Amino acid sequence: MLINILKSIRNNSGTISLTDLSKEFNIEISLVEQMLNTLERSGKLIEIKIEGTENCTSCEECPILNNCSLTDIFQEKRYQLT
Amino acid sequence: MKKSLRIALAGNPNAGKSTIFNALTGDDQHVGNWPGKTVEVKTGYFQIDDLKVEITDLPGTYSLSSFSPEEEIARNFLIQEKPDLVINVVDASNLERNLYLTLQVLETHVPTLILLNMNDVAERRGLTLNTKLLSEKLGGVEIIQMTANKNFSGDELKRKIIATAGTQNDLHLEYPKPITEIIDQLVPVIRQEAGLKIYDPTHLAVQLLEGDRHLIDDISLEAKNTFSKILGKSQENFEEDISIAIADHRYKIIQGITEKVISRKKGDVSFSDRVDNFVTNKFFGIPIFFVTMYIVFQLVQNVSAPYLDWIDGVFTGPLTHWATTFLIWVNAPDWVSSLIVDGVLAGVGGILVFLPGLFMMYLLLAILEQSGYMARAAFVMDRFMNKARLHGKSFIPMILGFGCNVPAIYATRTIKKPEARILTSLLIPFMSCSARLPVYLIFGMAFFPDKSNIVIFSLYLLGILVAASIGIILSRTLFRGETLSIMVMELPPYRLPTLSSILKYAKNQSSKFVKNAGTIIVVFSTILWLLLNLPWGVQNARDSYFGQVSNSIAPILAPAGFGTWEASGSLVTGLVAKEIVVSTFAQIYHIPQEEIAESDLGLGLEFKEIAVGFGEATILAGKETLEVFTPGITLFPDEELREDIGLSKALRSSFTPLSAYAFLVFVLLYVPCAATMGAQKQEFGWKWMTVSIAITLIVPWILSVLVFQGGTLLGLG
Repeated sequence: MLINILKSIRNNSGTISLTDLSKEFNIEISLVEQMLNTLERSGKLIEIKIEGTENCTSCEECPILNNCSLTDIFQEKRYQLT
Repeated sequence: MKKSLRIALAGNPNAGKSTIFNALTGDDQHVGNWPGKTVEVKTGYFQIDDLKVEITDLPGTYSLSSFSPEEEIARNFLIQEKPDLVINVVDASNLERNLYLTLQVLETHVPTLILLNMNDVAERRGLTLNTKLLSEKLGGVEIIQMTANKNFSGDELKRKIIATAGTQNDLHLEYPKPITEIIDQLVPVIRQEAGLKIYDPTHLAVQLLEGDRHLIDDISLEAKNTFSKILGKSQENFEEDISIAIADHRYKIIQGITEKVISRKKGDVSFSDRVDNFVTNKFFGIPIFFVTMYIVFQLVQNVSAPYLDWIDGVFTGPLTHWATTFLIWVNAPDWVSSLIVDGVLAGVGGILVFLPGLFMMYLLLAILEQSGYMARAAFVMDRFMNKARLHGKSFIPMILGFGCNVPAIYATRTIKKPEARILTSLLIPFMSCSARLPVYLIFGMAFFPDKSNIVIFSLYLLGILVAASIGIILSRTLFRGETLSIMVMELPPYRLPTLSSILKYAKNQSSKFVKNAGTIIVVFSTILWLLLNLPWGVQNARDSYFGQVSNSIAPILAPAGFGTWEASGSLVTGLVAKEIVVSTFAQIYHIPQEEIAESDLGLGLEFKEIAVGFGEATILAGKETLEVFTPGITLFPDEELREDIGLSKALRSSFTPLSAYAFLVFVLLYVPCAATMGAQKQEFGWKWMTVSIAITLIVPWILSVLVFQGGTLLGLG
């Protein structure tokens, strides 16, 4: 099932929502979340965060991002294929 | 029999562990940190008969890998400390998700008791659980069904804990053959290694295959090499990683269990799902997003317009009058009076009139976000971005660009590939930052009084379309080879926003705007006033140094329909900050103070006029807001026409509606402010900053000329 979810993400031509995956595989959305989390652990997906994974430390330490007008909205999780 | 027991509470975050921990231990708790970690550990005690029980509340985790410090702590405690019992708190309303950790806990073979919590929530969701069958499927593990915050009997649980502690946990997961074969190769090596004697060999083998290599950090080099060989070879037989195959197998088991154990009420589609059928629909999603944004801009315009008139009236009326009176009273020289009234007050007033509009904008954004719609809008736009071949990670910086381009440039640090980072940073200036909104509002109201919301909306849309088009061009030329990335997004359930939090957000953002814009505008208004008055004694602002420089640039902008020194001058000052574009116009077109001085009503009457004006503005804003939600119906037919503010009248003497729109297109797309350019230089160097400046000069010029000349050809001029 996990492998099929990964295939589905890869085969999709654009952004896909957790709801889409939940409907496609007829599983609870919370389980989809858990599976994406597992795929992230295995390095297949990466969660996109406001805080950078490469060059940034955190918003709290960034003098510019503290002035950011939209940092504290858009809190939903986003994943990207690695 | 033992006189003391050590037990652990394990479970997913928000499964209700803390409530159970508090109920079992009461006040007998100790809070500290795990050795070497910043993760909090809570230990508590309770006594039953002559048995002392120590409970450790493990951090909430979704699994027992060592992906995070919390998970590492939970895993180490279970497999190294070997408690007498682990109480696995499971959220019954979310069984599928919780069972992953449960399976991992059972695989450690530590005696386990499952506390099936939140049964009331499960019931409300139409879920019925067969706990007897669940226990069978999980190797006969003891299960207690309860709801921690209702009818919870701590004593009953305590007795169950004593009875279950030390009992054997018999679950043995049967992995598929290719995985079992590798486990069988690893187990003998684990058994031989003295340092690994504390672990269950099969469990450790599975942990190693899942990539959890920290557990073998301190073993002999020979054993390490053997492990590496086996683990290296193990990947060959799997389509994906072996860790994925193991996780996949656990999910299959979970699915098999939940299919049999959970009964669901049929046809129970959630409210969020029903709404999402339309809102994120492939065909309706984008039109719904556009209609929503249209309503947002309509509200911004309708609510801000009455207040705009009021603030403008206060600045050009009583405030200017008081300042003038005070300056005369202190015998201030003429140049000081001119600097304060024509410079600072005109400049600051010119921008503060837009504060209600920005407040409304932030308020609506907060409502959209908290209601859960913004995630849907982002989802719909993500699809669009992907079609434009933009990097998936570009999304967040570009959205941030709508607030302010500067943090957006820094936010590109989240993008790993340098080419994708640079490409995104080149597109960010096309995202219309909030500082440009006042320019749209003043021009919209002056030239398109009934349709300014459509004008503003079209500008935001144009910015996105231009960014997408330039993105496509650059990704196929300068940044060739950048692959398209696919994204997966969470869509939270819809919820009712709370008034206090949306007001707080709007207030914070508006304060930031006033603080940032206010500081820069006071300084720059002073400089601009000086430039408009040099050489000293100049009678016509056009002959000032500022006027002369602006006039020399004006011919370049003539094909776009706004080849006046006032327009080019405001664009030049806008390079410092976009807020200054409006304040520059306000200073250039400032109404002479003699005219204002005539409107002397006396201090008391002026205060009364300010208060009455505010009340009238509030009533009018309320009426106009109501009209937004009753399209096609005129609720207040006798409403007076709004009075023009002075700046609107002055602008109409220099622009036509067509040239005004071309000007707005230029403002939307032209070179970002100095701070954004500085950020680009700092992040990518002079070369890319120069490329960005070149793009943001050429593109807006071409488009504004196209708008003006095209419109003229079509007879719109």
